[in-house]
Amino acid sequence: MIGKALIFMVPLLIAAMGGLITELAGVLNIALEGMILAGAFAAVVAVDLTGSLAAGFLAAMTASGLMAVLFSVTSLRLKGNIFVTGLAINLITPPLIAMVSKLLYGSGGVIRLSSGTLNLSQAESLLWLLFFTGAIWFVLRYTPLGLRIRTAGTDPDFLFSRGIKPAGIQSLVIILSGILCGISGAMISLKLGVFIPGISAGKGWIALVAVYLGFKKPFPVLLSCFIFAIAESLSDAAQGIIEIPANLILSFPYFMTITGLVLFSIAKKRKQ
Amino acid sequence: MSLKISGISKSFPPGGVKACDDVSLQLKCGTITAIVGENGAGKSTLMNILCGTVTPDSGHFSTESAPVVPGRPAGSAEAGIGMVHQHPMRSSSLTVLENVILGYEPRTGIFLTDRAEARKKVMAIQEEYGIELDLKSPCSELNSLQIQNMELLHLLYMNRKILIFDEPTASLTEMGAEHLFARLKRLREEGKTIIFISHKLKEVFQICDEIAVMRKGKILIHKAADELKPEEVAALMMGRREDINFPERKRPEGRKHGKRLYRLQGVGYRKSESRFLRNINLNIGEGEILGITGIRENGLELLEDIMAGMVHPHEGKLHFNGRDVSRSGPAELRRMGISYVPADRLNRGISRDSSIAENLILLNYKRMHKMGILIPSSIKKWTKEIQSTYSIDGEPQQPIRHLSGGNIQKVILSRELEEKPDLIIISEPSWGLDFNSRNRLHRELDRTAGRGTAILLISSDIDEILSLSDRIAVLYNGAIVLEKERTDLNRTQIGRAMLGLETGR
Amino acid sequence: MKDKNRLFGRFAGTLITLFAVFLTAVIFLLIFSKDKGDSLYYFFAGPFLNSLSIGNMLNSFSLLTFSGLAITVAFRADVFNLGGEGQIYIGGLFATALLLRYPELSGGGGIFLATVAAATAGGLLAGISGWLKARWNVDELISSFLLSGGMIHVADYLVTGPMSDRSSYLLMTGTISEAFHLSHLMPPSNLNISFFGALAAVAAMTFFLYYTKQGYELRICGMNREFAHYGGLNTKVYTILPMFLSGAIMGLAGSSAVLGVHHSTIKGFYSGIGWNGIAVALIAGTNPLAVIPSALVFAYLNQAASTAMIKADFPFELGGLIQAVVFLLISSKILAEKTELLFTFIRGKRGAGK
Repeated sequence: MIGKALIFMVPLLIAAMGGLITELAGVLNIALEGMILAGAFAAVVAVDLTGSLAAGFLAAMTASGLMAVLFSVTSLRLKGNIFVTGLAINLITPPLIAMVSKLLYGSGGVIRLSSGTLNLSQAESLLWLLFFTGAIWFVLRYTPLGLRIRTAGTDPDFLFSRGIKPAGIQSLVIILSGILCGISGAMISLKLGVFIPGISAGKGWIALVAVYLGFKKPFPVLLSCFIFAIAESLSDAAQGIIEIPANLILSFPYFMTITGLVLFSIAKKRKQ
Repeated sequence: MSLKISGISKSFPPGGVKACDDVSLQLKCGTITAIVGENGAGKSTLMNILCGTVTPDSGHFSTESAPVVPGRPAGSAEAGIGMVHQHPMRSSSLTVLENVILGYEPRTGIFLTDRAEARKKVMAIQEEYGIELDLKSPCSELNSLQIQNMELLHLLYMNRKILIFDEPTASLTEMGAEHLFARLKRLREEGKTIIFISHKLKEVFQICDEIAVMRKGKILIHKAADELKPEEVAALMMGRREDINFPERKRPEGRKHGKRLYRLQGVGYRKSESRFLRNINLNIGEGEILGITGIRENGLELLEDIMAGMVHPHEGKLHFNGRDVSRSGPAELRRMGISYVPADRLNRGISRDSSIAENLILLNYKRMHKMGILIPSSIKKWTKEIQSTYSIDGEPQQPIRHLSGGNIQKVILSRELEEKPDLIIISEPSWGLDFNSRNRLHRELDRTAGRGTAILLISSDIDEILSLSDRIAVLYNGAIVLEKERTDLNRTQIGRAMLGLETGR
Repeated sequence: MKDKNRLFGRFAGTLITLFAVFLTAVIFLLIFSKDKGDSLYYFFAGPFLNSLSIGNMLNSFSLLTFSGLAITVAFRADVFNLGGEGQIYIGGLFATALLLRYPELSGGGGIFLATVAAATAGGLLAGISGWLKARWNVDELISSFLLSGGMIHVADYLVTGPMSDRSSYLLMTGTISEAFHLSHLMPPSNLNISFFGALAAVAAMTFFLYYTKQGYELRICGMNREFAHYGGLNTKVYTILPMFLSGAIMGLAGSSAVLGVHHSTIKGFYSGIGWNGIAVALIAGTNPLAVIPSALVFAYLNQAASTAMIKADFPFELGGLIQAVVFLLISSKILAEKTELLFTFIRGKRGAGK
């Protein structure tokens, strides 16, 4: 079961890392969900057209990256309310996907791949988990960019006084998070070998909450993603035994996430 | 490196008050020069000009190697000028080392920080100047002294030669100040040019080689410290004004001995290392005006928040009319008859985007409804009445942000006075008011006290305190250092107490 | 003068957003539809072609008015309700459940009770988020979204499982008795008397906000919480109450759709009402009366998009795209500032000319 959880949590963690760097840079990134979805779609389309997994990932990163550019331009350049523009990204993705899908396949629905699905073993999954967490940890700690990201979130004026524009760092980080979401989305859809509208199923939101629950630090975020994944596979397993309706299972991530959020807030309030 | 300042002037707004008026100064290398003056004497403006964040209207300054292009932070930085701010900025998410090098990191390749190199460089500086700071500790855990040291470390890392210290001791404990002085001496030995900005004359004489006194934008005197006496400097700072004898106001007999109303007993509060109150004991009786003064940052704003119930004290008790109100919030205090006019009028005293009427009825609306329904006509009528009584401009439905500062203050004051309180806490009431509004306000407060209302007047303006108060308490470094009847005090004594030079109860 | 320009700026920013919306719609129509002339014609004139279109547009207006008003109330108190969809769904489901359980109720009484049940259910769902915010400072924006997201799946389960109508092929609950149907105004369109309910809700909310004690307190808390605290108001109450009210009005949207249109709870009937409510409120600013024109614009856009889709064979959901464009641009400070500058400039020129 832990093995299953590991496989399940790879895309969640990668998106959470995207959420982590934006959160640290002071950007409330609720657009994760939409960007994951864009990546999932682009990956399936690219694999379907070329048959190459690499092309799938590349297309996913590009598509999600472009959504991130749109997000950063409207929120930083045009100074929109970051929450509203993030919502816009989540809202604009499904109709855009439907449109492209209609153009390419004549239908706005499910796209099935005949071949070229991604199969990660448990060991590979673990490797990827550690790689992404470690990489983000390393960048945050050992590169000038990392220092700038962390300062952009907590003390933008200080960053500015050292001659660096916080908004520049923030847009860079938003685009990076887009690319990460692209990878995450590609992993979701390529693993199943199919794109279904709404396939991201709240992962962007869970990723964001995992960032909070992980105290905005890479390895604790990994841990909180793991807890979500365990809970998910537990409910999967429970279904085999006591037969819980699928719809109720779908509601679990939301309730788990809110429970986590409340516990986190209580702990924070106690601390003060 | 020496610094020559010639004929610098700057007015705010253009053509208005001269913050700097033809300032010329010559600062020698390897000396500590103090620039002293009261709030608003123009010290900060001058320093900001030196740092390049403010462009002077005229005049220039230069180091021995080259003139400095004014108005450009980068230009001042290149010339080697750097300032240790009173409240230095920092990144609370970084470690000390990361803070020091942020923006100027040594690199390996293009992508990686060369941490080893950075640490070596910073540690060499630490060794040279004896700056003890754990480079690995997170900045969020540093105290004010350490944060100052960190900024100094950054300036030395950037190899700045002319160092400005802006009120460096304002937020330090005595121990911290001693450490700082040792460091300043060390920097002087290394040949740095040091400018030391301070209110506190004692330490100025303790540490500085030369003293320049600023008042109203002008340098009045610039001499070696041993040629000057503290009294002389204090007099220059405050101006040689005669102690005016204020006419005794006519008030009901015995009002000074009115019933004891509000009492603070051993109140202590700790906001941070440097922002605290300790053992505050005060009481105020009916019809009395108690003036509490001090230089800002010495605890006035904390005392205001505590007395008004916006925060609760960590130790000690507050009593109102014999009841313990240490834990009461504003709602409860208001019900018991305490009114409050805050110093932060725009954020706390009004709701900027609401109308004049909506701001005026904040305390009164509960009495203006019929079965929960507010009657617009009666609100309007009442608002108009208040507006004419207190001569407040504007239509009731106009957003209050359109009003002038004086009118906004009248809105707040009238709203609070209309509650017929037993006690008013009023903080910095004449900030931003012109001469006439200020006089009117003072007359209003005087009348209010005459009717038996107790007034707790918090103000950093000595003249305001002197002209209104019956009794005066001076806060210095979080404690009350002087408390006497006004008739037993003069301006000089209060001024000295504010600077930490005089005590007495 | 300056303020007038600022107002112009805000207003013009909205106009620019709407212009961008129409432009997007036209561009997509021109690119993707087979018969370009037809689709443009149906997009712009479609909603007014017959009483069916007009009636459906007005019905969509009523629902959007409810959801827009719900968001506006929250905005007024400076809280955010992101759970509209779930609150509508749960509201509608409670109304349905009540009427299915007690079919013997009289028509009027049943409608009244069902409406109250819907409002209470929606209100409680949103109120929890308000309470969590007041008690532990849990971000109401995220918590309302998550609670609603979870409840949507629970409701899906009920609608397709225990409460499902086995005789129907649609994913829906059983149908409520005809006595409880709201009377239609323009048959065969969906327009029903909840249209007046929506207008009444706007009037009631306006009255509440501007003419009552609690409305005053709510607005003051929304404007400046520190000021409200300083004045002795209970700021915690005004975190919970506006969330409750917001959810309750969402619940009304749910019961109106169930009693007036679907006569049962259909899986996903909330879609297009919940999120659009935010767009309606964003355009309305924080003014409850402005919800009416704003909802009208959106109802028109929705109807236009769907007429164009059906009649001119437009290939996909245009509504979502339109909504997203609004969200992308409406909150931009730069757009508002730039238009403000433009207005100042034009006025300056005109002044100089005189």
